Amino acid sequence: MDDLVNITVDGLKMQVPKGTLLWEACQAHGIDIPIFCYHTKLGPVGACRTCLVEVEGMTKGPITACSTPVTDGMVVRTRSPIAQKAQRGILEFLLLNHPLDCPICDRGGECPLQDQTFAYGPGSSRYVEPKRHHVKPIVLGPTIALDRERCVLCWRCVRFTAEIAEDKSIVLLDRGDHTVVGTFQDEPYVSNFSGNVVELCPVGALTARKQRFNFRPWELQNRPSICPHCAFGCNINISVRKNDEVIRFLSRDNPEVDDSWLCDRGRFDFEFINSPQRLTAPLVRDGDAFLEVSWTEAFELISNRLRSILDESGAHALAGIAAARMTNEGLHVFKRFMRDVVGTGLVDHTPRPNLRLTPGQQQAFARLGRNLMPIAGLDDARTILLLGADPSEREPVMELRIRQAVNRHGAQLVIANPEEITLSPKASHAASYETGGLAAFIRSLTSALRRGPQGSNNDDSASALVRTYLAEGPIAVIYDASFPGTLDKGDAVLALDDFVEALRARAAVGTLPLLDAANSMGARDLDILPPDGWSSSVIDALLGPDSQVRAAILAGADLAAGAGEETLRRLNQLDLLVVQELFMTETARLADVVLPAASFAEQIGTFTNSERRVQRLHEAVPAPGVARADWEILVDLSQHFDNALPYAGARQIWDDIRRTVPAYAPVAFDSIGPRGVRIEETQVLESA
Amino acid sequence: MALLEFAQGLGVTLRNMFRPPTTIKYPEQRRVLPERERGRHVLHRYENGLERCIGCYLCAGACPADCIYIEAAENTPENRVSAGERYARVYEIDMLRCIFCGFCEEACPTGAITLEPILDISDYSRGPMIYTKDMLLEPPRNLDDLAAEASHR
Ligand code: SF4
Ligand code: SF4
Ligand code: SF4
Ligand code: SF4
Ligand code: FES
Repeated sequence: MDDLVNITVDGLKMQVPKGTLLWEACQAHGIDIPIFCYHTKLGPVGACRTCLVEVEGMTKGPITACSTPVTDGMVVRTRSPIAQKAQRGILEFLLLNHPLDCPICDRGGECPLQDQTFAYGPGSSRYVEPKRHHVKPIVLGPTIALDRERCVLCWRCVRFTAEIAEDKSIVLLDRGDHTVVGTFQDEPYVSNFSGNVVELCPVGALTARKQRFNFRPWELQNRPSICPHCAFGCNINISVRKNDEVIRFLSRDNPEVDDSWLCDRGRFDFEFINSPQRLTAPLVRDGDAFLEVSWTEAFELISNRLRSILDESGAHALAGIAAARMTNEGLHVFKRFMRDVVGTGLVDHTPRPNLRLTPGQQQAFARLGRNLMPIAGLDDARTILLLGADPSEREPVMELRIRQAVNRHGAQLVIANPEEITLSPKASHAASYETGGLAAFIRSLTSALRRGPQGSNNDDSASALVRTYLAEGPIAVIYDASFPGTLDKGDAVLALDDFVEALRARAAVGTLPLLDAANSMGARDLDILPPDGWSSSVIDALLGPDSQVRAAILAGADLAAGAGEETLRRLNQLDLLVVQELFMTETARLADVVLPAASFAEQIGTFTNSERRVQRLHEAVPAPGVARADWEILVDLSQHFDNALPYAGARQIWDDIRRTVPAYAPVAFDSIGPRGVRIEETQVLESA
Repeated sequence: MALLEFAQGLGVTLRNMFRPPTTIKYPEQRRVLPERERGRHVLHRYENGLERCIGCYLCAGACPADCIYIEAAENTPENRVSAGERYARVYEIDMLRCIFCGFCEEACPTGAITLEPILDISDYSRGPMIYTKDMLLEPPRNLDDLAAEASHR
């Protein structure tokens, strides 16, 4: 209780932890104080003075609530005449040169400046002189445009690029009333995270070039969802216009995962949902062209041809490959359709690490997977070790989490990579090894570890690294599950597993893999793999020269994209190729039947991210035409076979997943809240 | 008594038989409407020909019948449509839903849209009742027309 202090705000007595910022204390007790420059994720600067309040005994006049920690006995008045006069004055100042742009300003309707002025500002302006003008809009870079007239100089964009993304691209130029936001020497603002400044900017000064003038906020509805572009699983809101058009993705702060940031791929790559090129009806090949047919016709055709192929050549004549960006529900039904309805074990997912593991290596790989740590655990790590992994490429927002762990929580970053990566300048220690030498490098660390505290006094570089960085936990080991550049991936798996075991003997350690697609972890957990697991690939079985496969179901798996002659020839040779897709992909063009599927934004379901957090998708917009969720397609197709699948909805499928995948058993569908449910390591251990 | 009432009633009929008719032969003949009659909308231009509408959606937001549909776009030096940064690329009003309240006119910050004394809004099907921008927009006036208008005043 020593840590609590008593303060009085507007006559309300409150007890708050010592050191809390006055604004936060008031916010927590429902007292609103206007702010611009303050942002919970960026910390205080006290630049805009909007948050002035009167504090008893402060002779210097009102103080900024956003940057003043509470002290015991503080008596604060947020709506006293002095405070009101100060707030009104600051807002009048902010509006002096502010243009009357609200009708055409993209912020209009969700603009804090409008809201604050309405709530706290003066009713009218006394300023009659001509306003300051700037060229507008200024193109800051490929993604962002700037309107200097609207800028309130809150520094949020500047602080984001300085503290969070650390590219220091956006700066304040000039002094005093000439201060403007810009980039150094007008260099273009190029960043993987540029979209975040649009969301941070409290006014309409920074806009996303591809969304300018596309919408007015009041006609949008935000529907919660999960970014489908990588396995990190950032939380998003999908803004949908009245005509069911997807307008933008906004971040939906999940402190456990994205901490309110999105990368530009995640934020801006959504136009595929609205695309007029989406498939809207089932298509059946007719010579070189496709004919639109009804679902029933398509299903009858597939089931008849499939049955005759299976009767002639047995279940091994059919292979199925599902995209790892499908929902858990889609993947589960896919697996059940293949294994239980048509009876083939030849299932696989794509993209996936191209590992060829022996049984021993498979065990090592499974062990690695069980050591999974939570993403937020990076903040507690003493050392973060990147072994041949480049998060900036694969799971970009992880880069921001690592920077934050280093900057705010004092983690040491150790990078082992043959090349310089984006995070390299941030590293306390950067080790390099020859391309392909990851396993050898890891083994050198392991043997240094095993030599024990004395043995690691050797002065080779591995021992030094172990001594300096791996002596104490918690240690976060981040690896790329595809082991790029490594030829003998199985060997790398063994080396890594051995290393983690050796490390575990000394310190708390957790691993995080970099995976390929939004639901790669789900595909692993649901075992969308060939019967011998990671030792072979069905893609090889399907496309190999002496393949026995005569029919294939490819759900979102675009095998023909960028593939060679041989692949195309093999796909063409198949007696039956069924493709479930969003678009007429290169693979779909070779298909006998093309089935239109719903995108992630058009269905209910779940994704499991790379820290094994199960997160919910909601139906944000209707699917185009008669397109349906992947699982719906396969359930309906199964009605044309003897063992029809019984599912009527995503919930029911989830319950079946809980029955068949023990790790998921404790997670009820409706318990998956807005922040998802992380499946803890122990639950997975028990199930193994 | 009954007879008297009968004659009175017939009197009314007779009186009206010799009155001039109140109906007119529309559409050959047209009534002069009050200047401020709220009929069909017109989108206006500035004297220099640029469109007044800046595609701000305020009219659509104000419309209680939700019958205005807009898609905005950005002016470029090559394609300057309105005076500001932004213009309405698509502007549609569903005349079947419009209740001619004039709220759009009141909401408009640029005086781009007004309800004019135009009453002939009818068609044989619903499709054509969705008025598109080219139907609503004033034709561009050239300078000669402007001069002619000025001399008429
Ligand atoms: S930033 Fe806000 S106040 Fe300024 S023009 Fe835009 S909507 Fe209006
Ligand atoms: S551009 Fe926006 S975020 Fe940046 S200083 Fe100006 S108002 Fe703040
Ligand atoms: S890091 Fe991954 S999940 Fe997050 S926004 Fe980027 S692509 Fe999406
Ligand atoms: S008509 Fe007026 S209110 Fe409607 S979009 Fe155009 S400028 Fe805005
Ligand atoms: S919000 Fe406190 S000074 Fe800007």
